[in-house]
Amino acid sequence: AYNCNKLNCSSKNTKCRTFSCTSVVGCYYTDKCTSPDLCHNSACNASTGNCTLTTISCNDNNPCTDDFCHPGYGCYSVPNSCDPGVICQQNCNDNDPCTYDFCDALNICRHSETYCNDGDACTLNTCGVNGCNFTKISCDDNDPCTADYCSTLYGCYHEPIECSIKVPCNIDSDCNRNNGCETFTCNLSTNTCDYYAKNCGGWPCINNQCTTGSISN
Amino acid sequence: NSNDGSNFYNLNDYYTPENWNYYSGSFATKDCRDASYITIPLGTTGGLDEGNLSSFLLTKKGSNLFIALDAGTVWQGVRRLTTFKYFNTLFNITYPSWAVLPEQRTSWFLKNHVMSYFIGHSHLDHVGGLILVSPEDYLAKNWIDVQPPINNGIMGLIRKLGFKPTDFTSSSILQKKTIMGLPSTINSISTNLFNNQVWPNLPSFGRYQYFSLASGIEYPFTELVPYNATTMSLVANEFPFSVKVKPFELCHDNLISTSFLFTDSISGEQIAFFSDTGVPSSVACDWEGKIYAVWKQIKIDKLKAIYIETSFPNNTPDSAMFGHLRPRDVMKLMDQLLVQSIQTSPPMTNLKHVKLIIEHIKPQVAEDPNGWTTQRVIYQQLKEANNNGVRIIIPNQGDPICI
Repeated sequence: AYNCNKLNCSSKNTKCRTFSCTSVVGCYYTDKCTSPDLCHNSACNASTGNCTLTTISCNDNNPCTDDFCHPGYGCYSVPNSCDPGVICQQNCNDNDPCTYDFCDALNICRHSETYCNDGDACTLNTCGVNGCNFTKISCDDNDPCTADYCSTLYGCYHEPIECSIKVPCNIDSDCNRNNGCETFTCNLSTNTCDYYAKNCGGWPCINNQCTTGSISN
Repeated sequence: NSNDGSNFYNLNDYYTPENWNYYSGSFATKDCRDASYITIPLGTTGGLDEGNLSSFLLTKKGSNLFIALDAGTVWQGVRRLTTFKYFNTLFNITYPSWAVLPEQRTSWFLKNHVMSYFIGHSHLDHVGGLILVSPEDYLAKNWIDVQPPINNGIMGLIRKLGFKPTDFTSSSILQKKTIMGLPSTINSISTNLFNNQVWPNLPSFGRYQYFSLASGIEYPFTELVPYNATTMSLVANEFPFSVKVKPFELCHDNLISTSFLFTDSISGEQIAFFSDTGVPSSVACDWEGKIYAVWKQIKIDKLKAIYIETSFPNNTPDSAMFGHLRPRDVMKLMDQLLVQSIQTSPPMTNLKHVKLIIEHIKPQVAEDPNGWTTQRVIYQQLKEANNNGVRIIIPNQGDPICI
């Protein structure tokens, strides 16, 4: 901690600067002339203490940038038509809708494959002459014993339904078709199997297991 | 006095004794003696905990210039780092005389010591920290003349390169932080985040510069700065200019993610950073093949560390992975690393020299039969399948790790 009495900061006062003291930082000063924003400088006349405000120059001496000043952000520049990055970008279009054209950090024009993805697992994502194409997929598995659905998260899934072709049985295990997405019982009055979709709490059952539905970034 | 903290229980959940359940790396003298690099976990978990999301700082031993690898949480991690007891014995940071509060020091560290951000993908838990600190993440022209002068960090670099405050113009690359990534990532950040709607477009006011990197192309850091070779020769052997980086595309469910492979131009040592990647749930993607493409570029005896995610425990079904990894996936990748990397003669048969830094562990929010944290579960599962002796590290926010 600083001893302000000992430091006697105010003895350093000038017409342009007022010195104060705290035990944390010791002497510190406040300028009499301060600029109202980041686009102006304020100068103080040491003999009179008068303030003069001048507009700062944002010229960065780079002919390939246009220079501006924002009162809150200060000087900034925007690349113009002779900037290598802008020139690269202007000449980087390969007219192929299936490539993403970009200029890299070395201002070299490059073309990466367009990543066509609409985030919908129920569409087939392709790229052609008109760019990305998203076509609805068919989930029909031609199995009369399943109801076919599509989840935008997971794609096609097929819920078992009571089937018109009856499976004969004497006990429950006779009905096991090794399908983790269905439950079954042997109906002892008809000696045929009854099948039910597994209860996944509203989420689809895919590949023998319930999906959790938790989406993760 | 109701303002003394006594109204709260001390949760104490991620520190002693919980942290004794796994190895979190080390900055101890014996561990740092043979190390070349130091990494600082700024955020270690995946999702949910907005104060601790994926981000690491990386520097070379002896330097105090840092690059950030992903930027989910920045402020909270740096704040914790600056209050770390042995902080300045490692990095020799000089603050302005007035910077006495933790937030003043956090801000200064960001301004003067973090040079670049490598962003692996544009999900919020990997960029949110960058967006939020951006108004303070800037070395204003008037700082260059701060008295007494500060000669380390970016300000030290400016002086070392022979620049004066008057050379500090609006287009000075050293004044701007750089945001690097694959074009799809950069496009998403510029279009969807710094767009004057979600957040002010600070890059357009000279605060940041975007650098798109092409997959599979190696970029020396010296060429990412617009100064001639003569100027850069003064720092060519210093971090980060002594490093080359090569990005690779990865699968992260329906999004392109990135691995950045860093190679030391002097020693040839390598560090592989993986942003989120893994088993897809909603789209088909050769996620393993894309990781093997990175392995094929690694000289196994030069590899120092791998940062890779392990979001979920082993019992998570593929349908709930959404482009992430489990311990069993990660250890299969380690087996393949020995097979697919550039081998020595005679070939190396283990990975004992490699540190495996586990990122993006999802907090335990569901029932666990033992009441364990996911960190503990995943550490156990990784250890049980660790056939190659890789050094598994579950990082702690703000605790440096020598690598």
